[in-house]
Amino acid sequence: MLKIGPHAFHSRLLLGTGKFPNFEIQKEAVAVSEAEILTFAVRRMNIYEPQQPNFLEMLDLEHYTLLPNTAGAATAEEAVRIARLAKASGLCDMIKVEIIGDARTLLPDPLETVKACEMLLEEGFIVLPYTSDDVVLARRLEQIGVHAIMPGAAPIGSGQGIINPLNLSFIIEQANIPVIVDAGIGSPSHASYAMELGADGVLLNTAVSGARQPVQMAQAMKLAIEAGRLAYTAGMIGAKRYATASSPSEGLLNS
Amino acid sequence: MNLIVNGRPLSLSTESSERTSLQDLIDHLGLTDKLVIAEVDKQIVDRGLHSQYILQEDMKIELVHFVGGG
Repeated sequence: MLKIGPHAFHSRLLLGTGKFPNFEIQKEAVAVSEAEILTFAVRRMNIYEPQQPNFLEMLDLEHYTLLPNTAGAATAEEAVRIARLAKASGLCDMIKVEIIGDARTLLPDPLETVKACEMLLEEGFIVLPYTSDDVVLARRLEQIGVHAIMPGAAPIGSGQGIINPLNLSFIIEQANIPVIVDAGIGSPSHASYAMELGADGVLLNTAVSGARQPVQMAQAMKLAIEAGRLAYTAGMIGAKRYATASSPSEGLLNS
Repeated sequence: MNLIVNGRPLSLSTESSERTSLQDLIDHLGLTDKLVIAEVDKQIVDRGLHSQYILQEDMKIELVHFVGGG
């Protein structure tokens, strides 16, 4: 079970809901992924097109836990404002703190992220910050009381996979709260690798929504995350420099 | 009544004697059956209180919702 604050989940795949080709495909992808946590963004309504459909209306909210993000915020204050709006929906108490500090790489601003987390924890939110893969920052965030830490594998939407597995493994080793690898995952092998390193979960969006067949990719990601988790708990052999025979060296015919 | 809604000016024709609530505005915009989260002059108005919240001239209102995002 993945435990985040008071919540517990069977699935270790957290799925983003952005940029799917259409709602039908999205709904099927979400179902196939078996994700229980779905991320959303908070945006102004289009008051000139009131009947525009909304994906949230198509979901049975009893089956999902919403994880709104603060995307669009550049400061702690903006993030807190978005988080409060999200909570006012009455649908969620978790918040993904996402404060972008650089427009080109979409890397998070660590100082504003810490500040926002402190403010939101004070207000009783279940706080999941999206961070860089900085080991000390992850520890500092845990110390102030965040409920999970979400280091990026690579820049958002880049599909580059885990750029720095060493840092990620340091973060995982030291953490007493869930570590969810967020952003930059492109393929099932990336997702599985994150889980093999001991991550508690993976949050991805574009890897599924941008695939030629999003529903099929949702299933591939689900299986990869399960496989990676199984491998981690099974205990993998260490890598060796030279070969070790799998067949016995006794009873050879030519001995 | 002149308001700023989602960053744009909006004129709401009302009977001068009637008080206009936030819910009246939401209904007027055709958003009655939507999940609307409202902020007036940077203060969030709880969803249960939209009908009781009376609007004043020149208030700045944000009507937001959840959209797809990662």
